[in-house]
Amino acid sequence: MLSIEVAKLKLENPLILASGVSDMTPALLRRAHDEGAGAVVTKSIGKEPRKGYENPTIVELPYGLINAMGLPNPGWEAFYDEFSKEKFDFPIIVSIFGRDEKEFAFLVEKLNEIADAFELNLSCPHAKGYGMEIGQNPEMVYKIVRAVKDATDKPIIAKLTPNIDDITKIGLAAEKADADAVSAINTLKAIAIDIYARKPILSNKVGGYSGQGVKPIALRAVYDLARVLDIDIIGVGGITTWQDAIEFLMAGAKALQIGTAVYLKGFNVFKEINGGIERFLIEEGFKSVKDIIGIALE
Amino acid sequence: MKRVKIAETWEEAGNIKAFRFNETLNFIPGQFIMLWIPNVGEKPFSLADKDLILVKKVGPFTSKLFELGEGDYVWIRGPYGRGFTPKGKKIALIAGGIGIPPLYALVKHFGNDFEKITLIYGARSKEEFALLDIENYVDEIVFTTDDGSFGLKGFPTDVLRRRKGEFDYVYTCGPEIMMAKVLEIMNFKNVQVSAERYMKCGIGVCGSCALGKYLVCKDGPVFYGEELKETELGRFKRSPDGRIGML
Ligand SMILES: Cc1cc2nc3c(=O)[nH]c(=O)nc-3n(C[C@H](O)[C@H](O)[C@H](O)COP(=O)(O)OP(=O)(O)OC[C@H]3O[C@@H](n4cnc5c(N)ncnc54)[C@H](O)[C@@H]3O)c2cc1C
Ligand SMILES: Cc1cc2nc3c(=O)[nH]c(=O)nc-3n(C[C@H](O)[C@H](O)[C@H](O)COP(=O)(O)O)c2cc1C
Ligand code: FES
Repeated sequence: MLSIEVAKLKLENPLILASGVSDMTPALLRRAHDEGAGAVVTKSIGKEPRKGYENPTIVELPYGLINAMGLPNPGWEAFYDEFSKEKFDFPIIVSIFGRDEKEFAFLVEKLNEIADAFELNLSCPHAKGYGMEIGQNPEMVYKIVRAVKDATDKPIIAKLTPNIDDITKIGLAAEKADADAVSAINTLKAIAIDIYARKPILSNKVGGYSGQGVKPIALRAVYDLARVLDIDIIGVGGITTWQDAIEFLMAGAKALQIGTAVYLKGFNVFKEINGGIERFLIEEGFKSVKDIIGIALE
Repeated sequence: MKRVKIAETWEEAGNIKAFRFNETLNFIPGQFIMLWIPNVGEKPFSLADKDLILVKKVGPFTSKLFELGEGDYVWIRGPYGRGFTPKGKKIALIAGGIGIPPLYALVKHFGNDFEKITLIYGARSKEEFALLDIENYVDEIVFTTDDGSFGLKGFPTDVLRRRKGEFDYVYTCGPEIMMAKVLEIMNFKNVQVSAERYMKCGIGVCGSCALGKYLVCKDGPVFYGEELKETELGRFKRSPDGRIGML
């Protein structure tokens, strides 16, 4: 009832652990799957090891989080050494980031045997020269997706930034370059100030907002993308309850990623949301989750 | 994030200072806070009491903290994580170095749950023991020093191995090699361990503090011995970039 195919991957259910959320180690990825995720995305991996920004790297708000982790990652070599020894019985989507199309293509070649699919982080809002800075430019997005498609046969998912006037422009660029899917959204550029310290809390000053507060914005991004794209869409942003999940599916997302809700509810959030989706489908007389994808677009 | 004033500080041992805040926190012994000094950084510290932390100077952040005194402000968030669950009647606390704060909190707040409490505490030398007023909450203290200059010569785990039969439950915090030894001696049973890993978010979202399939900041820092059986505790830890490194 919940199984789905997205970006050529077969998933037991439509829920995927979002990139950067407690997903740096094989043991954590296995736990996410054990606790109900149909697939997982790894932390974004780059060419060199990065320790990320100094703390504070996170601000807790009533309706979400602002983070500026600074893309901490072990670098492709250490990642490869650790992950090439492991076997997984669920899809592993490797997230990668780079400065330009050459770096993306390089990473895809190096990590090809580990990944069941790649997600291109074209959208991190707080790392200079990476992510959003290139992902706001449709030509760059086209160039990168094209270069990566030429370098691998594995499915490619382009992760889009919401920090742009019209997200469909970059979605269309990714589609034109032959991406297998897009995921939307990454975090929204944001800031928090401590009034007694009289300064921004994050050491990087600005960060990315995620969680419940961004849900309506993410939902709209998925809705807009679904009306113009033929390729698969993976919905991300603030999904916290099964009702949220159903909204995204109805807006046209074929699969969903969950990040911040893992902090709110624990890994067990995957089982909870899957259970809710299944109950809803039964109660409303649907045979499969596929039957509700995009029905709100009509 | 909450601003608190430092109400008092004192030197508790060589290179170890106590900081008391002017506000009390609702906490469970074993829980920790994230402490922010603007322009310096933000780091995790166990609560020794509802308004107290005990800090060893080891690097840039703790050095800056040592410069602060009565009337200065710091910012905290928390308390976070899973604390101790009182179990057993005749218990041993196995402490090493700066591992004392959560164990002090345990016996100060849950002391009545136990019949006999033995503290076995190891450090390099006499000057390094940070005791606060723990003698009011325990029945017996055994000191060990590496060179025998104070108390028994050797490690707390040597004492535990000898006297294991006297205790029905063990609580430990200190250097990881020591805690791994405690687990081995107890065969992973009837032990609670307060673990440490590199923390960034402190709230279970970034994955920096991974230990096996657990997040130390959320699933811990206190773990039951059995839970740690299949983890890398005592073998390796990860650096802030996620690479596997030495303990
Ligand atoms: C749950 C927990 C409770 C702790 N409780 C206490 C306590 O009660 N008293 C105390 O003195 N210390 C405690 N620490 C350790 C304390 O956080 C470090 O000593 C401090 O962060 C050192 O910062 P620094 O800049 O002075 O030193 P650095 O030179 O930055 O680091 C020295 C060592 O401190 C550790 N460390 C540094 N940053 C972190 C971090 N973000 N997370 C975890 N470890 C780090 C590392 O092992 C490092 O090798 C605790 C750590 C954890 C994880
Ligand atoms: C702590 C944290 C770290 C993140 N790291 C990454 C990352 O490395 N790469 C990436 O593509 N997205 C990253 N994200 C963004 C999430 O994958 C997701 O797109 C976003 O948080 C919105 O979903 P959510 O509201 O369910 O968290 C991160 C988010 C958080 C909260
Ligand atoms: S410190 Fe971020 S998950 Fe524990």
